[in-house]
Amino acid sequence: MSARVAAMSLRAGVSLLLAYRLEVAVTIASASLVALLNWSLWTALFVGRETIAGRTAPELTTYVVVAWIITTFHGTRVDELIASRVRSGEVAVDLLRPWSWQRHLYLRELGRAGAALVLTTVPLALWTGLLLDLRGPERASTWLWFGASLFLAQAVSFGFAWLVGVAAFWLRNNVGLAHLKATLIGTLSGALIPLDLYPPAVRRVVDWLPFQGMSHTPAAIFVETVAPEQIAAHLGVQLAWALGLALLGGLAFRAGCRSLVVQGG
Amino acid sequence: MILWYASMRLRARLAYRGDFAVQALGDLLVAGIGLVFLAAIFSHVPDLLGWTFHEVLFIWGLAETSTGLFFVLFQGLWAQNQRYILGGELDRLLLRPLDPYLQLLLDNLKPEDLPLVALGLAMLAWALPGLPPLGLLHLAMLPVVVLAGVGVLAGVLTGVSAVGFRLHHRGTAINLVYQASAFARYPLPAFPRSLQRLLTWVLPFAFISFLPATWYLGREEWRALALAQPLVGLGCAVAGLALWRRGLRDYASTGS
Repeated sequence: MSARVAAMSLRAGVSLLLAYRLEVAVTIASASLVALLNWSLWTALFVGRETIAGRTAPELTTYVVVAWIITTFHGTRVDELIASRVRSGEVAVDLLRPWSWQRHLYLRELGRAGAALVLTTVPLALWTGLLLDLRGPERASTWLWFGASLFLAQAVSFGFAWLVGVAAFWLRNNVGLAHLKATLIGTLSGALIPLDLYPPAVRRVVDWLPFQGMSHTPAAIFVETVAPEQIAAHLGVQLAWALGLALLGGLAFRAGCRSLVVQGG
Repeated sequence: MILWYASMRLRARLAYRGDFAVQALGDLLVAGIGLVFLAAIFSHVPDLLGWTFHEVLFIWGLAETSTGLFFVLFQGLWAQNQRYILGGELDRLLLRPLDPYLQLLLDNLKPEDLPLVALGLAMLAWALPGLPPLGLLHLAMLPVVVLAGVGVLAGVLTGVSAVGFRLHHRGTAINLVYQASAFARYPLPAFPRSLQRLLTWVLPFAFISFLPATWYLGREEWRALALAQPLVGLGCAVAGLALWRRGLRDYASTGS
């Protein structure tokens, strides 16, 4: 894929977001509601106690707000687009283009996420940071690692969504899978439920899954519950999942295309 | 007539049994996130501002029951803007000799969400052993309380969806307002005072579950509001429907 095509893909993502301005406003409003709900709830839970699951009030309340508002950056519904193009057969057109559809969509989603960061995530961060009692990082370097982790979180989210979309080659109905995706991300990514609350046995399983790379890792780095010397390892796990999911997604897509050709005769 | 309409709808949905089951299971899964959330929290803390796990579970279960029933009956509100106003199907409803609001609902009944009602009732049953024993009056009033909860949710959202007749938009307004009902699933004192007042007097979602639940849980502080809940449910439903009909009078077809 040439640099020119890559830039085009990124730009396409940006304009995609700009085309739905009302949706941006609605996303801000709805993410604000959830952030406010979770913040109030956790503030209330800390009344009369110092720590919960070994975490202090500033750590957990900031974690839940950060983990939720960054979903407006990395969250993606690209699986719905992929599934609908696979089911309608339009995917054949995408195969004809002289560049990888997977890479094109990744860059397009990255462009969309970048625009969402500026228009949605940052405004949310500003009002929650100003009005709610949150705690920013103490070390300046944390901002850098947090940024890197966010970038990788988007790649992990995309890799998983791609796989869910590609499953349409074999499943007639993706509604069930879309629900499964929402449930897995809702329970295991840290976006709604802080992963530190799970019992150790569950936590060990979650550690071996990709979902924590979406919201938990960036949020935990932001509130500095990850020790400085362990940050590199956490980013490494995120990177490994981003690459692993991309590789698996590519293989699944090729296998799907083969079965499509067989069916088409 | 209404029963006939509803049974046709049910038969149409059951024609694809696999899809029906997948949809029902999927909605149940997503609703289960909340249960995992509660269990995770209360495995670490004994109470939330003095509200025990069983008490919060009861509030949540009552909200889940009303919300589930609301989704079964009022799915049409979600289809209204996109399919009926922008898509022009509303004109078809207006030509028939049955109330258009009723047709909108009956056309879109969603029996797939009945399992949500079952989940809500199961949560209530699970909460009971950890609560002071309930009297017969409590049990007899349960259907009324659940229906009044549906009335609050449906009334507010029906009223809000009336703006669709004027704005011709794709319908994100009711989604947003619906999301605010998530606050109804927790003890109200967990929220800042201004938010508590908002949820009681302006957007009365506290009446869906929290306020009536206080009567079941023997909390005296909200006694008057809890007892008024059936009336509030009825009032919301009547007001919402009146707003909807007013909106319909201003309706001009998109012509598509």
